[in-house]
Amino acid sequence: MDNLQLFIDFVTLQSDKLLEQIIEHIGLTLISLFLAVVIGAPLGIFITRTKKAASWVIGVTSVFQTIPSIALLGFMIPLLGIGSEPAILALFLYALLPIVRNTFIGIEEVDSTITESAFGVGMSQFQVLTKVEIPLALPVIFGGIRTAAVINVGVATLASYIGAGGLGEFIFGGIALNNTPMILAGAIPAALLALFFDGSLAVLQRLPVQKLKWVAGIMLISCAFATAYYFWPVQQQRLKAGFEPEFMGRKDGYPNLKQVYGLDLKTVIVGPALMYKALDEHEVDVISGYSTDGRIKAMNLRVLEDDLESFPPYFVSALIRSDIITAYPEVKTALDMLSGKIDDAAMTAMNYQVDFEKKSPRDVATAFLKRLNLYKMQQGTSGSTITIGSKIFSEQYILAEMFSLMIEGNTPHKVILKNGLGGTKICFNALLAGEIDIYPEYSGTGLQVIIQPTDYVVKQLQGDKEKLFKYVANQFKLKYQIEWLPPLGFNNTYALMMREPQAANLGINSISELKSSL
Amino acid sequence: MIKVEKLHKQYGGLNAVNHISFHVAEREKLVLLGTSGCGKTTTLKMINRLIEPTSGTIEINGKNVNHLNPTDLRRQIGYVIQNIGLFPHYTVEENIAVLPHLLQWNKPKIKNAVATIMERLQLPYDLYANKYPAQLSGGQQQRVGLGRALIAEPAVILMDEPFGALDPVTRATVRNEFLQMEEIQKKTAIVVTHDIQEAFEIGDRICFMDQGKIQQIGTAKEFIFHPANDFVRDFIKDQQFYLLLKSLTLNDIIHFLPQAIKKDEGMVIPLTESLYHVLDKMTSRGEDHTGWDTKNRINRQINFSSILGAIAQFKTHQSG
Repeated sequence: MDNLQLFIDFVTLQSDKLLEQIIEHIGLTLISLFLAVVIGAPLGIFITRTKKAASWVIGVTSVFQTIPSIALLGFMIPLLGIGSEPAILALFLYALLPIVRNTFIGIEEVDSTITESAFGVGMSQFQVLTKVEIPLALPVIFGGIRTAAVINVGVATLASYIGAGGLGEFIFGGIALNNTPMILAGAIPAALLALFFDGSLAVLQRLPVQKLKWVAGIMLISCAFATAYYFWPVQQQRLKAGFEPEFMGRKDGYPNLKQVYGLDLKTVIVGPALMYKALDEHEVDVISGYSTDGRIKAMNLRVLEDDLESFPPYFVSALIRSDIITAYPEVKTALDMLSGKIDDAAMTAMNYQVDFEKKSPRDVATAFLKRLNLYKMQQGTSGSTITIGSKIFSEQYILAEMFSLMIEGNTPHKVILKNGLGGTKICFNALLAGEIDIYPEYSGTGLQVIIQPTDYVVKQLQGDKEKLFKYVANQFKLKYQIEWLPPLGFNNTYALMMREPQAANLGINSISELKSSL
Repeated sequence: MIKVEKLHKQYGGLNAVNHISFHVAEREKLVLLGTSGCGKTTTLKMINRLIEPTSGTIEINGKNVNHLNPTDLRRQIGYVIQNIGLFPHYTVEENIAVLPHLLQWNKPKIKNAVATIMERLQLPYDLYANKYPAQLSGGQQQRVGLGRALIAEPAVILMDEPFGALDPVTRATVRNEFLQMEEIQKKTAIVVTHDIQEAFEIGDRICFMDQGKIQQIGTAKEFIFHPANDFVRDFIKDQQFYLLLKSLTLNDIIHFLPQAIKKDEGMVIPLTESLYHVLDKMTSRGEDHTGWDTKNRINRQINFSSILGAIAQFKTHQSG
């Protein structure tokens, strides 16, 4: 049980972080749940009194539930920025439907003879509601809270994408870093939390009504305290950094930056797709990006000079399974034609066209190939089908299109694209499993995320990108029967960026200056 | 005591209750009788304003109920409904004490009142006070419902099919207990039922309704001997003999009974007893009886044939 040992080691080593994430996760779930109860239950009661509003209110709350969670989180950034507030709002919206609906149904289902006799005995509207209807509806209302709690424990894992923390940090970090123990360290507590909430609320639900009333009161009060505690203002650093999970965890990412520069920023973890948005919305001031990223120009960002050379440059190339090369050597020949053809400026320009001018990646790739006289019409579809994958950012989309055009123009094979795969681990596993045949990859990522060599090996390779590329290519061929084609030409490296006006204002040009400005 | 004038309730285009008027005297038991949909329940609920009338007035002790706060009004009127409507999350004691709590009586007074009424209802306080409605039989639940309605000693009680949820055997028992309770006897009551036998058993007078209108209002005897129309006659047709025996007393037919041959023979039966009870007793004992009245010193032969003969003569006499 090697994996079990790895898992136990990870949990032991990261127990502080794990505990912190569990507390954050419970916090997110409980606070959003509390708000949903405080607002949803009165709303549910209100619509039992005004039936016309009922279908309308339940309709709107249902719509919130149909919005994909990651999209809802994305919508929240312009409204509330990043961090726990937008996550709580999104979770609150998810929890609303079950609570409103169950409150409504619970009260509607109270036996009409009971409410009639309550009125008959001389209770006022308010007394009937508080003494009879709500107590009798409590088990059903608790059922709604239970459903909402389980939903929220699950959705709260996504909150890590917008810097709200929680167990999603381990889960998505683990996926990005190809670290199974890390994924499990997030996923298992999340599942246990869901079971715990479900089970304990189920027990409460079965309590007699008189006791349930007390329990409900105590829960509301304690949740209110938790909320106050969570939102208690904390002293904030002047500059806040938003990093994606892979950068946070990779040895050549933030850990290396800390080591080389002694940089200690206040960081939040943000999903790669939302990172630029968060910077643009002034939610964070520093982000981790790629040197060739088109958004640098598009969003008027300043790349901080890596004056102590902490980010090693990496080559970019097509990863292709050896069995494809054996079966269809013409595919390799077609892709080899791109070798050394794309320089830094060309790649940055293409990214800019996609990110800022909103051109389609296929058009941009076609235009580029035409300029180099590499573009050919599709030969036909008589051959086999080759599947090309890409990760979820523009450069990958463009390169995947370019590979596709080269194969279709120079071979009889047909190409299917599977774009926007969530991260290195997903792409690599898909390639290994034969789900895709080719995808663009970076030598540094191959080294740090897939091979994960010892520090000694990393030191040996540092500073020599050719040597590093060769090492990685050899390892891949040996271990996985996957080949790296000759590099496309441009270098890609991590970069820290800030908004240009802020950087100019603070006089920050390099990472060292960032460090000294803190 | 209760005065209903031109009471009207319209639902959409339908006249659920159509300009009805009636009076209920103090301590009288008036039964609203009719098939479902005849408007009897709607009429009852307009009295404690669970339903607001479209037009017409209701006065209780000379006060127009529409000028009273509905909540205050209802606290002065006992209300018992078919499915009892006990609060399932309250104990027996809490159920009975609902109104005293609303009226903010002090604790010893509430406890005392609850214990007293429970004793009267044959629900020993120590055994039942802390039970929940679900732990009680149907008859016991009905008694708790009565206790809840009676605890604040309302002058008026309204009952909607009060024994409707009980099985026939329990129903008869609980009904008899109910009628014999002193608390009930001194109350003015309006009782809704669709059961003719029950109506004639409970009601001093019966108000028979159909399609929102009163078809006839009167005593049992009036219904049998002077039905207002064919509809009424038809409605009571199947129960004619039973109703006759129930509504007539020995007193009614005393002059048609033959004189006793020997004085003071057999059993003494009060003349106010209904013929139904007299025959019932004779069926179980199988002997002749003497009707005996200490004041008038009347001795009559009482057996099956003498009673049936006397009824026949009484009927001829009534119609003649």
